[in-house]
Formats: sequence, C-alpha cells, structure tokens
Amino acid sequence: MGSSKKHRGEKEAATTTAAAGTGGATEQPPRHREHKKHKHRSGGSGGSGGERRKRSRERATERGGGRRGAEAETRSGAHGRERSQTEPSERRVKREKRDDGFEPATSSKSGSGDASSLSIEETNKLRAKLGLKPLEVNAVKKEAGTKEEPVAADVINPMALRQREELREKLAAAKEKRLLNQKLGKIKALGEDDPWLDDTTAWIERSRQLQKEKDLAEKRAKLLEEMDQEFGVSTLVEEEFGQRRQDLYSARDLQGLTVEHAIESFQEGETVVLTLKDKGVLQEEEDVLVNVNLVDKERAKKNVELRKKKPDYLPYAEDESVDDLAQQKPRSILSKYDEELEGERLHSFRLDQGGMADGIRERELEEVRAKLRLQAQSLSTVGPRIASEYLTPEEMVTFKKTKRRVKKIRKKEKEVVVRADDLLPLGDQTQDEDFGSRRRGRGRYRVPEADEAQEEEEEKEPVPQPPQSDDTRVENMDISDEEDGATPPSGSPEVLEEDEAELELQKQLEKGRRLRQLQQLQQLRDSGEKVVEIVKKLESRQRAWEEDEDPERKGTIVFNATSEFCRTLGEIPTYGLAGNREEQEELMDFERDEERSANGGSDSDGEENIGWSTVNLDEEKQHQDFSASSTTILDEEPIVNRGLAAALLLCQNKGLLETTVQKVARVKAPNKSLPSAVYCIEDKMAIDDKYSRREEYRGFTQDFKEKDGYKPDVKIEYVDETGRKLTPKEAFRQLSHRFHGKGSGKMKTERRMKKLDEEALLKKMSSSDTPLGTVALLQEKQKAQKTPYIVLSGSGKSMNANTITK
Amino acid sequence: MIEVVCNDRLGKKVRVKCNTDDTIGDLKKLIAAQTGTRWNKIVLKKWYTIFKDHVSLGDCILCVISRGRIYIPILVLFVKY
Repeated sequence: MGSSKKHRGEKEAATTTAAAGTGGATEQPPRHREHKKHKHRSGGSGGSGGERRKRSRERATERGGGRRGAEAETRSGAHGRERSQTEPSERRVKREKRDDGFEPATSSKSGSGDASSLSIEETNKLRAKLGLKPLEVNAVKKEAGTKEEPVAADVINPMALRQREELREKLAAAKEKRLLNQKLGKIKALGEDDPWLDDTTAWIERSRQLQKEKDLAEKRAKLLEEMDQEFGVSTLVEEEFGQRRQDLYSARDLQGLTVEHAIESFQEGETVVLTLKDKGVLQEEEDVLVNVNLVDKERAKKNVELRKKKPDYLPYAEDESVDDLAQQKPRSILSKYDEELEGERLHSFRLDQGGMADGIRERELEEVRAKLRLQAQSLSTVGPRIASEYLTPEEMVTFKKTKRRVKKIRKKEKEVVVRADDLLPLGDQTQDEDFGSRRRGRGRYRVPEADEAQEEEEEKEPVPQPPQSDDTRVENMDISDEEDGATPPSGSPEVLEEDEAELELQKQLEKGRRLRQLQQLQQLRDSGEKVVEIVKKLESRQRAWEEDEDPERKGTIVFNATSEFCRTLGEIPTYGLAGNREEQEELMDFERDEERSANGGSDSDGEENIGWSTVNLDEEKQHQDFSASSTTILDEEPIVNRGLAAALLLCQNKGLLETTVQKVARVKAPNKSLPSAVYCIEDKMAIDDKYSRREEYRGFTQDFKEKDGYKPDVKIEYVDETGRKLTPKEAFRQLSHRFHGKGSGKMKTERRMKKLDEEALLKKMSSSDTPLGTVALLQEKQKAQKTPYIVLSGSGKSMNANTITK
Repeated sequence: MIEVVCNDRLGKKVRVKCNTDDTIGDLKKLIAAQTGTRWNKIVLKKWYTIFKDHVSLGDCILCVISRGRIYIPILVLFVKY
C-alpha cells in the first residue's frame, strides 16, 4: 500500500507539474471526472492511468481551479518545465483524468468542501503565528525520468542491506583488532624474529653489549661500596637499611586500614590475627582486614537469627523507633529488603595513625546510652491493681476522729426520772421548792408571793428532801383520789393544779348527788299525785309524738313487710270460704235482699269495696226464694219452652250449672301509686308460642305393661350405592360426606374404586385354584390324555386351554 | 514537508502541511487553525490508536520514506471535537 501510494504520489507530483506547465486554462474543460477514457491509454501510462482511475473512483473530487494551478506553478517553478512541455497533448488528456482523480493537494480552502488545505506560504504564516518553525521545503531533485520513462523506484535490496551490515561489522572488528595489536605489539610473540637470532654476528654483538653493561654496573657498585667503607658509614648504612626494612612494616603502616568487625567483638587482652580480606584481582578498592574466625562466627549468628523466623512485618510497630542514644530512627518501609538491595552493612572501624584503634568513643557512647535509659520514662501506665478493701495506715492518718455530740436524753416525767445531778442546777427555774413542807400547813393553795421567804429557806434545806417528797407526792395523790375531795392533798406545787381540778369536779358531783337525794325525797312525798300526772304526761307525750309523726307520715312512704306481701298477693280465691263466715253471709244475704228490694241492691256502707260480685246473685237468690217457698218433693220442672231463663233454671236444678258464687277477694290497691316506677315484674308465663306449646307433653306417661320383657336386637346396617354393607368407618365417612355436602377428591375416589375392584377380584378368585386356573387346566388335560400324570415338556402353547379342549 | 490529511467523518476534511519533526501537538494546532476548533479539543487517532501530543510526526508516520521531494503520505486521522 505504501508503495502504491508512493507511486500514486509520484504520479500526482508528475501530473501537477505537467499540468502547471500547460497552463491553467486547459484545466477548465477537464472538469468532468466521469470520463473514463483511460482504457485506451498508452502502455507506458497504462499503469498510471489505471491508478488514476482508481483514484478517481476513490476520491471525492473537488476542483481547486485556479488555486491549484497557481500552486502547481509555484511548485513547478523550481523544477524543470521541460517535462511539462514535452507531451502537452497526452498530458492534457491524462491530466484530465489525473486532475479528476487527483486528490487535490492544491485545492484551496475556499473552493471545496472537502479536504481544504493551505498553501505553503499561508502555512508558513500560520506556523510563524503559532511559534513553529517554517516548513522545510525539501529541495526537490530532478526527476530521474519522464512520464514516458517513469523512474523505477529504488528497490529496497535486502541483500544489499545485509551486506552493508556485515561490512560495518567487519570494519568494527578490524578496528578492534588493530587496537589490540597496537597494545600487544610491544610484547614479543614467540614467532617473532629478532635480528640477532638469525644472524650470528648480530647476536654476538648483542651479547657483548650486555656483558659490557654488566661489567659497568658491577664496577659502579664496587666503587660505591669502597666509598662507603672509606667514610665508615657502611655499617650505619646497613643498619639503617636493616631498620628501615623493619620499620618499613610496623603498626604505623596499618594506619587507615579498615577492620571489618565491630570493635566490641575484640576483647581486651586477647590477640586476634587479622588477615586481608579476599577481594577480586581487578578490584582497586583498599584493603580490609578481617579475622576468619570472627567472620564465621558472625555468619553463624546471622544464620541463627534468620532461622528464628522473626516476623518481617510488625503491624503495630511505631513508625519511628527511638535509638539507645535517644535518637529517633525512622522505620523505613520494607526494611527487610534493604540488605538485599543495598548490600550488607558491615561494621568496620579504621585504624588510626598508630595503627591502633581504641574503643574509647564506643565506651563513651555506651555510657551515654545507659544514662539515657535510666532517665527514660516508660509511657506505659501502671496497670490496674485490685483495690484493697481496707485502708492503708497512711490513709488512716488522714482520718480525724470527729467527736460526737452526746444527745441529751429527753427526760420523761420529772417525778419518775429525776437525778440528783439534774435537779441541782434546776434551782434556776421558777419552781416552787415547796415539796409539801409542814410549814406551809395542810393548805392546798400556796400563796407564792407571800411565801417567797419561805422558799428561800426551803432552798437551803438539805438535798435529800426531793426524793422523799416524791414519795409523799405519790401518797398524797392516792389519798386525794379516795377522799371526796375533803382533805386537801398536801401535794407539791406541780400536783397542785391537778388537785384543784379534781376538787372542783368533786364539788360538782357532790352537789349533784345532794340534789338528787332531795329530789328523790320530794318525789317520794307526792307519788300518788305524780302517778296520775305522769300518766297524763306520758299520754300527752305520746300523742305529741304521734302528731309529730303523722305529718311526717303523710309525706313519707313507709314500707312494711306485711303490707308489701299482701299487695303482691293478688287474688285470694279462698278468701271468705272458711266455715266461720257462712252465717254471716246468710245474714248478710237476707239483709241484702231486704235492702235490694228497697234500694235495688246497693252496697253496704260498712264495708268497703271488697268486690262482691253481685250480678247473678240477685236473680239466683230470687229464684232460690221462689224455690224455697214451694217445697214439694218433686219440683216442678220449669217449662223449657218458656224461654232461656227456664232452661237455665232447669239446668241449675239438675246441677249442671255451678251456682256457687265465687267470691274473689282482692287486695285493696293502694291509693298511692307504686313509689318506684323503675321496676318491672318479669312474667315468665308470657312465653306462649304455639310451637313450643306443641312440644310439651302435659299428659300422663307410663310404661307399656305388655312389652315388659321386650328386648329388641338393634342392628343398624349401612349400605352403599352398590348394596354392600359398610364398615363403621365407611359408614361414618358416608355420613360425614352427606353432612358436609362434599365427598372425596379425585385421588381418594380413585383409590376407593381401586380398592373396591380389588375386593371384587378377590372375591371372584377361586380359593382352590391359582389365578390362572392351572389346576383346572391340568385336570382337563388329564381328562384329555386319560392319564393320571402330565408330561411337562414342550412349549407353553401345548398347555393352552384350547389345545387341551381339542 | 508532509501533508497530512485529517478527516472527521462528519464532513470536515483538512490537509495540513507540516514538517516531519513537528510534534502532534503542533499538528493539532495547525489543524485547529484551519478547522476552527480549539487545538486541545482535537483527538487524532489511527483507528483507535490515539496519538499523544508530545510525539513527533516522524515517529508516528511509519510509512514515510522521505524521498527528498514533496511527498504526501495520506494518513487518515480522525479529528474529534
């Protein structure tokens, strides 16, 4: 592709130049690209034409027109125009096509829609604006060939290339050889000839020369020695030389050498032999002293450390570790690879001027380290320790014993708990110290103002008085209770108040008693009169009370158990039917008759509305009277045809009617309505359904006597649709299906059917024979063969029933 | 000198003249000058191989054999806006 492109490019270049030469005018007509007149091109340009065709098909075309022409001209300005002029005609034709297909390198920006391009000058201007260097317009060489004779492109000859490469290599090799030879040229090779080897004379001469030189050297040495001896310095010189030889290599000479061990590994007093460390022959580094044993030891130590398998990575290690010398050493990442990457860090020290190394500095460092370690404070806090339940002696010191204020016990009654000690300071109180002293006398009352002097005297009295007075007080108290307040208690001042109250009470009581006594006496005197009076009083009082009560009654409602009971009784059917009342009734009847005849049956005044039913009575009584008047043995039958009345009479006489009057006694309804309207009487007899009444049997039940010994054998059989008797389980299933209204599902019914079928089959099966009926077959076969045995041989077909029957 | 054809398949086709030792960035600038976009918005590709700005054209355009004349290799590069 590249080459083809190249060719195409060449052709284009050629065409442009050609086109330029002929002028722009000719470019106008060949605008049509559709002309495909390429086919009959000349052979030389056939290829190019074909390419052009390709191009024309490929490319979208645009015409630069004048632009192109101008550019082509400029381009071709540098080249020879002779090319263009040689074949104008052909070029013209071809140019058309070329122009058609030519992807315009010179199309103007303005002219076409595709592939706009700038000319070189414009591009250069643009580049200058952008800050780029101008276009390198390569000096175009002359075209080697014309259109007719197109220049064959330089063939890339791979062979040539290879050869060139080889040459280069050879040259390089030769050069190297040369250099080496130059270097090594000085050394005589074995095969090399010296002039004197072949030529004896030359050799002889050379040997002579050598000899001469030797002799000369010897002479010189001798001369020098003689000179030394003359001066007498020879011995000195020898000594010097000898010393120098000795001094040549001493400790001083070890100055600056490094020893590749840590100074600490050398202990005082021991001799360690150091040797030069092995190093490569060509290495120019300085010598290092080393002890083999120490090296081995160190290596062994390192191996042991490695074998311990310490963790490479400590996730919680700090980023920076503090050195012994309290210097911060930052922890690097992946420090385990440092040795591998950078090489082993070796401890070494240099020998100083005298060839000695002292560990003073190291010792100093150690001291510093130790000091810092002591100073160091560990950040770890003291761990928690179990708190002791008891205080330590130190803490005990901190406690101060606080004195507790002794509370004063509250004194109870001073008469009972009184201490001698307490009483003494009580002298300040305004108390009378008169504990019933005799001086005061038996008077109950003390006059405090008057007896102040006495008090003072009493105070001076000895101490033991108080306990005594206690007793006296108590005693006095007792005495005062018993007496009717007559004897005043010679009590203490404290008790004085109480005594006064008591005395007053007693006074009052006495008064009352006396009065009562007097009254009683008086009462006894006018007893008789008083009785009457009292009776009257009582009556009046009672009436007063009643009168008082009545108005109350009128307003209030009094429930009485009996009244309530009676009210709720209702009708009393047997009221008035007791025997005692008959006479009264009769009497009353007669009275009533009279009355009735007079009044027409009005009620008696005396009685209240008891509810006598008097409707039929009058007539009946009249009738009775009538009948009573005519007392013949056989009553005359009333004439039935006379009317209803007569008939009724007849019935009555015959006893068909109940003539007794039912006197129903009713309880008098109270005038007042029931106080409480918020209650109802639940009547359970109201349930009067027709159907419920139907259910109940109100008759007489009795066992049938003729069926005494009857014991029926009850057998309830359930049958399914086919007529089979059902087991209880199946029967229940049937029942439940009917009850619920749905039967079993598909599977269940299928199973049931299957079971039934199997049962049927089972039943059909013969008990004595196999399912296939083998025995029967055998028997038949026997009959046929008329032998008691059967030969079991041959195919199964022979045992078929068909064959047997045959 | 090289002429490079840049096509964005949407109608803009541009031929830009430049040197072989120019960088892609310079080429982009030239393209931008001609097409009217911003040069840093242009992406030059050779079928998904994106050319970076610091690379020189001589290294990108592998099929060029400088012949000492105006040679126009056709490098179809896509310009993306």
